[in-house]
Amino acid sequence: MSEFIPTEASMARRTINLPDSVETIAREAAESGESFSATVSRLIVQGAERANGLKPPSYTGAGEGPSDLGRRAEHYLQTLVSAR
Amino acid sequence: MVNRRDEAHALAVELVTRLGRNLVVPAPVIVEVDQLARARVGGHAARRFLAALDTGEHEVAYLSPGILRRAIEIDHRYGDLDLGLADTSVMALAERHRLPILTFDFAHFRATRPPSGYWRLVVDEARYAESTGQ
Repeated sequence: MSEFIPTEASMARRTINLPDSVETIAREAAESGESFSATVSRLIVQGAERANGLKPPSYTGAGEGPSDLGRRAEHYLQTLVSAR
Repeated sequence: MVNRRDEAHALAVELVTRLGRNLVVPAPVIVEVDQLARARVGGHAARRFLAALDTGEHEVAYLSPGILRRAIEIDHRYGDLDLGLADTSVMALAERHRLPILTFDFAHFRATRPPSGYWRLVVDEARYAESTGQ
């Protein structure tokens, strides 16, 4: 008989109680093939973003480097490797 | 994103802010960004990036054996391009999960393709040129 040993990550749960009316809203908002948990998570993220506004990641503009670093990342990486 | 002097900084900020937690960062890309940031921008910038990943600002994709195998296959197939694991892990994940790719490295992602069609790029060369004046 096969045994499935869930990893710690797959066991993660956050239990919340949803009023029936909220559950109905979530089920109506589900996208095709989306699990109920995924729907609730997605709606929470969307709601938080609307309430708080979108914020850039915390590392945005953390330092100053070459102006073409993003476009020529491969070149700079090869330079790094060659220097070793 | 970490480099405020980058010519595409504003474009990157706009896109990554909009994507937020929907942005999936493959583990090999983390290493590449970390090394590049430390070498060309500064250790402080690299540490800020790593801290953001630690707090879940983006989703990190750890390579499964199947994704790693596929990434190695792609690297082997396009050996003359010398892509490297960071790029090929992005390709393998995009292929498996049918995801669009956010990159400014147009050369590599235009020179390769998934089994059918082309890579879906979030930004194309025209949008990049329009935003940066390049």
